[in-house]
Amino acid sequence: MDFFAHQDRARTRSRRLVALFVLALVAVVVAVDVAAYAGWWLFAGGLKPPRFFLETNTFVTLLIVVGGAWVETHRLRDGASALAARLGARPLDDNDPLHRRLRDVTEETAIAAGVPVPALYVLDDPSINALAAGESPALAAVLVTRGALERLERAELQGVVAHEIAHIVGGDSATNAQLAGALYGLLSLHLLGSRMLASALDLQGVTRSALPVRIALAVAGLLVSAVGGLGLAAAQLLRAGISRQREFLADALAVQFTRDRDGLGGALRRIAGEKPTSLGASYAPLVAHFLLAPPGGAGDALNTHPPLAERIRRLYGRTMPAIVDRASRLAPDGSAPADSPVRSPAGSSAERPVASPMRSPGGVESAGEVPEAIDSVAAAYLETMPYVPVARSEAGPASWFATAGGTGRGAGEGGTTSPARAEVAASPAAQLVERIRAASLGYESAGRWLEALVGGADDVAREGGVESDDEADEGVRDALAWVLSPAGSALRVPLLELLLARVRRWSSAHRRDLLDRCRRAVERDGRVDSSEWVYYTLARHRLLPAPPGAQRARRAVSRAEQSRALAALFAMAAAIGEASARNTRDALADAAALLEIQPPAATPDEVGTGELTRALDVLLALPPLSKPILLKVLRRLARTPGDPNYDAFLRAVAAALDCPAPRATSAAPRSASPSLRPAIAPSVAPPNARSPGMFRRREAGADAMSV
Amino acid sequence: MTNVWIAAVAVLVVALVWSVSVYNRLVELRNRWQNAYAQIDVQLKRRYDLIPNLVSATRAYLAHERQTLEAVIAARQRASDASDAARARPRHKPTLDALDAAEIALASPLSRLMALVEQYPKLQADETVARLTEELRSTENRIGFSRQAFNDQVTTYNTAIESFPASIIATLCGFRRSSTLRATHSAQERQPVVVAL
Repeated sequence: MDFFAHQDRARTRSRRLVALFVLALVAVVVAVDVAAYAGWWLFAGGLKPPRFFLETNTFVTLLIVVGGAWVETHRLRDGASALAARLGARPLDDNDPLHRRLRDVTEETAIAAGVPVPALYVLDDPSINALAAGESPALAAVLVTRGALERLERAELQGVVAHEIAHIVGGDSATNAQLAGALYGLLSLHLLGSRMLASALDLQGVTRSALPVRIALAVAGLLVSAVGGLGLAAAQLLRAGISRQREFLADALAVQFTRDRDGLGGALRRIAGEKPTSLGASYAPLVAHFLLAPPGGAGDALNTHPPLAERIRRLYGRTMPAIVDRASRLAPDGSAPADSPVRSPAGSSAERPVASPMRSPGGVESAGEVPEAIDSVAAAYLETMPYVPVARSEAGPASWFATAGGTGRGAGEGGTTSPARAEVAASPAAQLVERIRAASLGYESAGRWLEALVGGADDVAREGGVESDDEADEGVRDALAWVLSPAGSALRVPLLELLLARVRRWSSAHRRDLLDRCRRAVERDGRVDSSEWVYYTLARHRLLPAPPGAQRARRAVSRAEQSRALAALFAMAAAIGEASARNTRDALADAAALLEIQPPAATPDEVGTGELTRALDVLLALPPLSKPILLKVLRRLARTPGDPNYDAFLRAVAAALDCPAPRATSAAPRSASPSLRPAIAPSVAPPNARSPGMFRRREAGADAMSV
Repeated sequence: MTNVWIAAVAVLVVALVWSVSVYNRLVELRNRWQNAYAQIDVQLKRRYDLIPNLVSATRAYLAHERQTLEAVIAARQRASDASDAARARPRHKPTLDALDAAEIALASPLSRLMALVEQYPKLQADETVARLTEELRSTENRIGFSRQAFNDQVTTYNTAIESFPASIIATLCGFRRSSTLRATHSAQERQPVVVAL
């Protein structure tokens, strides 16, 4: 790419367009003058117009247009930092290696461009984007999305930053503000004409005037409005054209600064490979012209950005394929990609949205404010109490771990007294429980264990085990391996809950970070199977619960939507392990009747995680008393009462609905806490041989799909 | 007659205003590339300061690679000395050449050290080392970019003083063509230090 030639061309073209823009403004003023003359002729019929008629008209028109432009320009001119605050962007955190990398990259590029280093902010958005704002280089700021930080390589990030710095060097945001202001001026002219026309046609109006005056007013209003409208349309086209040329210019400048075509090119190709996101739309209208790439990616004449393909073509001199990375094939807003459905009869695979939703960190800082599931309270409680003798009927996870650190007494006693306790105490997981409860639980180990518990055994195997330099972790490693094996699967959820309860008191930044690690662990092998989705959903809702007001603030949900959500949820339940299709159908009808929701026709055969996430969101708005009913009905579907995978699913749904997990019912009479209870009666087999068959059968049919 | 005088004076005034503006612009351009030149020095200094930190952070892990570490330290010392000498005599060509040579001599043991860091997973896991390697890589980029910015500024300046009619003012006021940094070794230096993180 000969970037100097490209720069020259873009500069010439944008200068020409600016000249045309000014010309359009002049034409509008002239047209208004003509319109006024026409009105005068109709009204006064051949009389000579008064002195200064032309001058007054011109002056008034200019006043409206320029005044409107001035007001709008000043409204847009609040500082870049104010804009960042309005978008919810945060300043860099120098302890985060990714943030440090961004700072380094920006400082390097600023040296190359010879401008002061702009202020830097990170937007919490999983898509790849960036924007620059600020009137002058000294006041400028660059905002980069979290997605760009995480998914771009260093050189690509550098290209993106260089593009934004090129905008700063070119003074493009000031130009943009002026153009937007001029547009607003033309709009006010158009509106004025419309008002004139409306008041002239207003027959019952208070301000009654003579007929000829009205006709003249109507004609003048019509003309002014038409001229303003035409001018507006022309100016919009021109502005879009200018903006597109500035984008080309910024691309060419970015290549000059980095002397690297592949950096920016790679980033653009990645964006091209991304699914158009709707998430960015929340801030897009405000800053569309600032963005690196417009959300949605449409390329019509009014778009402020040239089509990505054209920008890539100019960078490389030829067309290049988009880069599709695994993560971006799942739409960040959680909508399921259309081309990768999940067949539920075949088994239990499902995909899962990549991104943790953008939740406000405020309001969830203190665990006390958030309604908590009762089991989690118990789990939190047991951290502080080494031994809690609990009656079986009240047993939450607490009863499971109560003796875990103890002497192991009761190991051989079996079912009648407290089977669960005995199992934990005897099981290899005891050491892990000890460590989780230890006061010195570190951030690193918590993250590692969480990844393992969410991501599953094969992820751990792929990573070469849960590595640690710490020799004391030997036992923990064994414990994790055991929990993740079919033999220990019954304890996976309780352990996860315990760990989550422990971690939930940490700051929201830590929790968000942990959740990100879980997400990466799940993504690592390129596929998401149903159990991974379940554990991730559980972790997500435990770590970042919806703020208390969230469900009230939610918009009213239509009945059809509720019905669809119910169907999706039942489809997932069926995929995890339904007793029979008939049973599911009946249960679904029951649930619909009990919840007073219009019963869906049938459960879909396929369900994507995006759909599921949306379904859970919709169902979160159910009345509080309906949620336990729904969970109870859901449990009836289970193929085996107490199937650990199904129980995990139920817990995840309960967490997502912000409702306590279901307790003992007639379905599993002997179970203290059905959602947690191991899958088999202790009298049947020794603890280590518990129900592996069920688990394996399910697994055999479960070909996790590739994402 | 008076009209002619007025016209002549007007032309003179216009010419004078134009010359002053051209002169000011050339001064600005000259200061810009001189500043860009100073920037290179700043970034080189940054690199010299960083290297001992990296060496001491990796020393514990790389006890058996003492030769490499010592070579890096020695080369860094020579380059640092050469840079001091160059700062003392900025226009002295042999000193500048010596600095270039010292920089090249530093590049090779340094890249060997970075390759070593890559080979040891434990080293990469060490947060201090990861931080330092990122810093060093950033510095390498900064050096490259500051050289490049210098060359861009010099090119703009040279174009400005050589294009007509500004070239008249440039010749009269003694603006001289500056030379860009030679590319003989910059292909090697522009090669970023590869660090797998």
